[in-house]
Amino acid sequence: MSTRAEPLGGPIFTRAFLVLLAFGLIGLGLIGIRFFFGLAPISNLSDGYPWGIWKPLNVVIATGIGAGGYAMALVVYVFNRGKYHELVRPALLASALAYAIGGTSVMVDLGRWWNVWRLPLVWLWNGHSVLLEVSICVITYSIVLWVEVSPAFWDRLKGNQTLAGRFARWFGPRLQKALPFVIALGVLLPTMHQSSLGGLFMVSTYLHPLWHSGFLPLLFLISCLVMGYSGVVIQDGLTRLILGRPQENELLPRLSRLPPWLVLAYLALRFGDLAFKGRLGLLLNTDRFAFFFWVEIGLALAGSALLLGEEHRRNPGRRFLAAMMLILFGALYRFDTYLIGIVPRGDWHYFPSVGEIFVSLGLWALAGCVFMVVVKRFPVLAAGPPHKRKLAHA
Amino acid sequence: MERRRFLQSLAVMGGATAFGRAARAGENGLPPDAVGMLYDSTLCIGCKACVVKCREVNKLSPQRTKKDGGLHDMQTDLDFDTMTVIKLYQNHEGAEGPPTAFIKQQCMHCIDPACVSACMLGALQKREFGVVTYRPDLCVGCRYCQIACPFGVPKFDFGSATPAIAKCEMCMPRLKQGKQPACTEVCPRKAIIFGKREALLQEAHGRLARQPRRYFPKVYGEHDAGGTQVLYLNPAGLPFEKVGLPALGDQSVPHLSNTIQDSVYQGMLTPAALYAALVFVVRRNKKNEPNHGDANEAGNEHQS
Repeated sequence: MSTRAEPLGGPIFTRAFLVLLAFGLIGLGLIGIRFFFGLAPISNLSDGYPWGIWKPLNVVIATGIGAGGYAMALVVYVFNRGKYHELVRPALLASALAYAIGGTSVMVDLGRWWNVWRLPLVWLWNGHSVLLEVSICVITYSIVLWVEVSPAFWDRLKGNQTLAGRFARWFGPRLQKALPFVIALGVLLPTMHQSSLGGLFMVSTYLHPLWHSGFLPLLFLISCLVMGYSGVVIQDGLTRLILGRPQENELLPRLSRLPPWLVLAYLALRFGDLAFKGRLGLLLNTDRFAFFFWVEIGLALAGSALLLGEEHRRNPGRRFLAAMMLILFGALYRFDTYLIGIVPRGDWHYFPSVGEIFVSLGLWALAGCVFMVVVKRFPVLAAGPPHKRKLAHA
Repeated sequence: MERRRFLQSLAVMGGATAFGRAARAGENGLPPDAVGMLYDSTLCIGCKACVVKCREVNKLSPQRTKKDGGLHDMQTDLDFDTMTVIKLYQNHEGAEGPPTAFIKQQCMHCIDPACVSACMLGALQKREFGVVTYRPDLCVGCRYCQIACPFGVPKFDFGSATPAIAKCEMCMPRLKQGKQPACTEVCPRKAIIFGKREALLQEAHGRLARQPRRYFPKVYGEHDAGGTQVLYLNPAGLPFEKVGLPALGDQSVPHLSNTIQDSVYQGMLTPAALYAALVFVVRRNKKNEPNHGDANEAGNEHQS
């Protein structure tokens, strides 16, 4: 199996690309409205539900799936499983785009966005603010991700005689030397902010007791690793399916040993914590909270069960299904914590508006556009058999 | 190695600054000049003079009700133009206690406020007299304070392109001039009074002792949520949860979050140590990794 990466080639403006672009433009139009007339015209946000679907969907779930870059860096560089290299670049690109979705969404969501330039001013920092930790960490990590992805660009450009080419020839090798420092940041920062994304709700008195816990940071860290793994499996599976390449079946089966253990740790923490606080009785209720809790647990168990047994882990279809279930599990856990488990005092109701949904769709679609362009023009995906190239037109 | 040391010292500097700020804010113990307000529901007649005066002093627009074509200013809850509100409790259930009671809402000015713990750049801060104040120039409009505040006090203008958080600041500019807040000054029944928190607490306990049958036997805010600077007395038989003052326990709301955040991030020592360890491991692993002699490889390897 080749470990070389090369551009896919093929035309940019395919039908799939244009559909995504159209969604992207609709989203951008709605975002334009927000900057002139405030959040109310395009969203159902209120004082009772100050955070709607944008935070859980575009920030917390997107970056959870985007933890693929984190999970891969952890496995490859920290636990020294050098074999997984060919999955690293596409995972990092997807992560960089997922974090871009999150960052853009936050900028749309922030009421007083023009004050954001003050965030890096260290002397203003409030050390107790979990959200500050998240913000600084996510901003830094977004930069780190693009630096980690950038060898794909330098590799492509270094042959050129342009200024960019000269820069690539100068910067590329220097970056290689500094890369361990960058990669270490790429592992440290997600550990910090993915846990803090859960920690945000430790201060809230509106989160239902089934989710409110001092273990929120740890549970979010575990869920991001499960989602990161699943993100890599799904992304790799889809890319190969679309490109008509045989499924990778050496690295992913080994990776697939990990999620059941993570789920086991998650379940032990979750149930242990509830039992310790005497809250297990809440699980017998017939309300929406108990329902969604059990759906979470069911998805986690079903996804893990599919990955038990070596021959099952080697089955790409089964692995893909497991990854889908596990990503849904992680997404639901995060959605529950951010929205479904939120019980404001007073008569408040929330359901996402069409505007909120289309802004989200638009951002995800634009990220898809960028992904398609980059893999076609820059060496990101592992090289495949040349005769399959025509499928790149998809 | 230079680079690593630089990054580490940067991290330590950042952590130390953040820690210094938190230490100034103080976890317990109010400044000696800490003021407060005491609201006695048994005295309030629901005239809403406080609401009107609050609007006037803080330059807030009236919330005109649609029912009579906009004739009356009829706010039903706190919002971005309403920093205090009088609500009516009605005893529909035929439960113990009075048939009706009024309740005034505004910022509670917690001793250890969740909003201050949450606020990224300290736009919300406890300042002179222990008052929780808002500085719009440091606010990015993230609304985390709304997630954090257990009383639902900070409000936000979702319909504006240049929104801000609105909350009672106990008329801070007036306090600095030696005056009292607008609502306490204007109250005709002295149902809401202003003073040093210690004195108000004594006054409240004095009323409970003198007329035990008149009052619900508790001063809300003395210990609740770690203590608040606005204190409440309710009529006999009417628990505070029924008038929108939640049972929060005696520990401050941000206590859990602050403790965990401090233990992990204090001085940025843990992250710095973790980073150093990661650099060590990654460098070792990259050195040992099999080299395919091609810089164009998927995993960013490079022969160095």
